[in-house]
Amino acid sequence: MLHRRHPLHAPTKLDRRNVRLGVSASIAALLLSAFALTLTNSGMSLLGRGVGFLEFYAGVFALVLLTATVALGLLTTEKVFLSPANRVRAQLAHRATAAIGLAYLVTHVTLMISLGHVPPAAAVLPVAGIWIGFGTLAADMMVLIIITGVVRGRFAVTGRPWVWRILHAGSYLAWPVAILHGLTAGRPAAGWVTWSYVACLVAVGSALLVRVLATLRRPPAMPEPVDLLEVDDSPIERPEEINAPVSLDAARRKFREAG
Amino acid sequence: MIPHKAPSVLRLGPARLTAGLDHTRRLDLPAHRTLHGQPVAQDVGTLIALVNEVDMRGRGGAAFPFGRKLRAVADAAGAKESVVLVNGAEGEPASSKDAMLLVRTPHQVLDGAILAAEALNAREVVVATVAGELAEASISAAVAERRAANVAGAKESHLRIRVVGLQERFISGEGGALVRAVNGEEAVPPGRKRRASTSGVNGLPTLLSNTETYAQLALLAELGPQKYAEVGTSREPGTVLLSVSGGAATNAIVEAPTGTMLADVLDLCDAEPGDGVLIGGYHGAFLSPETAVSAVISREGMKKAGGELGAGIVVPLGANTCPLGEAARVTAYLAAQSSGQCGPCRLGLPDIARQMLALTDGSGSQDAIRRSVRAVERRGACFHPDGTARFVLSALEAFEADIALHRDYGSCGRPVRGVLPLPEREEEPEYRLEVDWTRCQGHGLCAHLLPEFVNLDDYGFPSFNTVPGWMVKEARRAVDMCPALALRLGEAVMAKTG
Repeated sequence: MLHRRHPLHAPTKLDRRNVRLGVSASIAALLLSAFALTLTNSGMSLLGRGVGFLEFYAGVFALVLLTATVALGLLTTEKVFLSPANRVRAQLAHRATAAIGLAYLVTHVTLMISLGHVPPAAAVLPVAGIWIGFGTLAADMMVLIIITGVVRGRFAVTGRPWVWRILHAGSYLAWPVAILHGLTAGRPAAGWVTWSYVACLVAVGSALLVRVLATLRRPPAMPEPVDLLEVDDSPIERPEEINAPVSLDAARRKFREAG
Repeated sequence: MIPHKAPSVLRLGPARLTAGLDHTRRLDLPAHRTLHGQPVAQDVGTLIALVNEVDMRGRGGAAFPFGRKLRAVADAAGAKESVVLVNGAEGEPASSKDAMLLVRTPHQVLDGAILAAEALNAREVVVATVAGELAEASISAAVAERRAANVAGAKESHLRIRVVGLQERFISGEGGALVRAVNGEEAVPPGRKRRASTSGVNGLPTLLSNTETYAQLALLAELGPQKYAEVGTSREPGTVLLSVSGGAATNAIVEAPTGTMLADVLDLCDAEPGDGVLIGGYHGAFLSPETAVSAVISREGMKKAGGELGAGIVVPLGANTCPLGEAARVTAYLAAQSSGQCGPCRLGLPDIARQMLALTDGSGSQDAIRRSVRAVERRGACFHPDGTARFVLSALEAFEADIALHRDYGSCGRPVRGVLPLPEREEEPEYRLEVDWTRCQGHGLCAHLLPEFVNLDDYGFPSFNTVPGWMVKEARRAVDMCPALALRLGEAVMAKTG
């Protein structure tokens, strides 16, 4: 029996009042402690080191998280990889990594602009050279794609869900561009970094290939043919008429013939 | 304040609590003082002696000795503060005596509460009643009348009186739940019993008793033990208030001395016992018509007849309704009123209700019900499962013949008329999940997210049940997560749900 205080299922245990309060409190504590650090000299140098770290690594984190987002998104759409329960989890993880990745992306862009590495216009327009321009392009597309992800529910109500699919599939274009930017802009990448990115590209690319091929080669969904019963063409045997008037002679003859 | 309508009052014997109510709908402060005079403050010792002399009991149903309760609060409080809490949230749909007292003679209740509070040196008097009802307005008006009288120079008590309006539910009248509700917590019974007399309102020792108990206390102090015990039996002197409803032609509160025959009360209200008389409310028991005729109104008399006087609820069924159907209806209501805290109650009561329903169309079995009842008895934080068990078992016993009819013919030939009163059901929105079948691929994520409302067929495609309003957040999540973008949440439809 379903009871309102105890529904059978609990889709997520994270969306609780206490968790929400805790997360807001810790974010507030983080901001306040950063603010407190600005008050002392040693705190300022600590903050400077933190900013220097983020200057180098915010972009890397964003790229890694968005890579995970693309892979998780691909995993969750297909039936073959995961069970329904894990697909739900993968979808939640997909959203989480997208949100955190976006946060790092914003950090990366604001730091690059505020530290004077690129002009402010580079945030939206590819004006700062080709390699950084790739990053701008990828960031713009990522933001658009994440927006389509947020308003996904709207497309379910309209008659054109394929519009959403095409827009959201733009990530398969934006993501390699972002990796290209990551490998070429800034300092030269270490060998293992390049190789791991290539491995990611190959893995997701092949999964995508499987998906595209499976969609293209899927036979049209038709009802399975059901065998019809064989038709018998042999002539219909008429039973002897038994209601015909019987002549006594004919009956005797028949009796004699039968012996 | 003059209420636009008031519960009607009848009496057998002398007018005690209901004195003066023949002439007016509500006794305001001057009228009350003219009738009952000014109460005289007493210390705890004298008050307890007075109460013990007539063996006064709580009138909320449990019949706990009031003197012992007073003594416990006085001991727990010592020199500290305490609180007097008046329980005016009956919860029982068939009971209206608390509402009658609060609407028609609120000052009698307040007099009793203040008498106890002044004896205990209490910090305040809290009156808990159903929010938004006439009773809340009347008692608030009574408090205002007292304040105004003091400004005009009368000698009313200056003790603080607080009126608290509560959400009405069946279990909100339970002592622990009431204290929690007054403290601003959720009105459900606590898992571990805490005596209100040691830790109640705001953690202070609290004298918690029913509205009628306080009214009787004021009466006892006014009349003195000799005069008070002039009516009623020697073991349970005084009068009781009975809420008579159901199949009675006149629904009324009857004030009757203990020792009155139940048959006289029924006659007064133009009621036939019919198939049985429910005594003590929905946690009480049915008396068969034969025992009802000879039953006597008192705790002892009712126990002899096989019932409990409880809070004085008397519901004759009459002969025109299907008694088994009535009992099944009430069982379903009781099941829905479980607060859902204790597993055996939350799962067991709906089970019993379904089996009672099966019994009405002749398919159920009494043994199965008895088994289920045994699985819930004495397995909850409050009295709700036990009381429901008593109600169901007594119905099985009292309606033996009717059950046989139902078993043989599928019906006893009488409709269910709703003689046992139930509160109006609330309207709640319901949502329908709609699917675009051309898009649905049978991924099955919706069935994982909403297991109660989505069933997958043999091919893995979903079929949907309507989703109640309180599950709409989860339903939205399923819509958002559909990989094929095939799900929609339909418009809300108002539906009656228990």
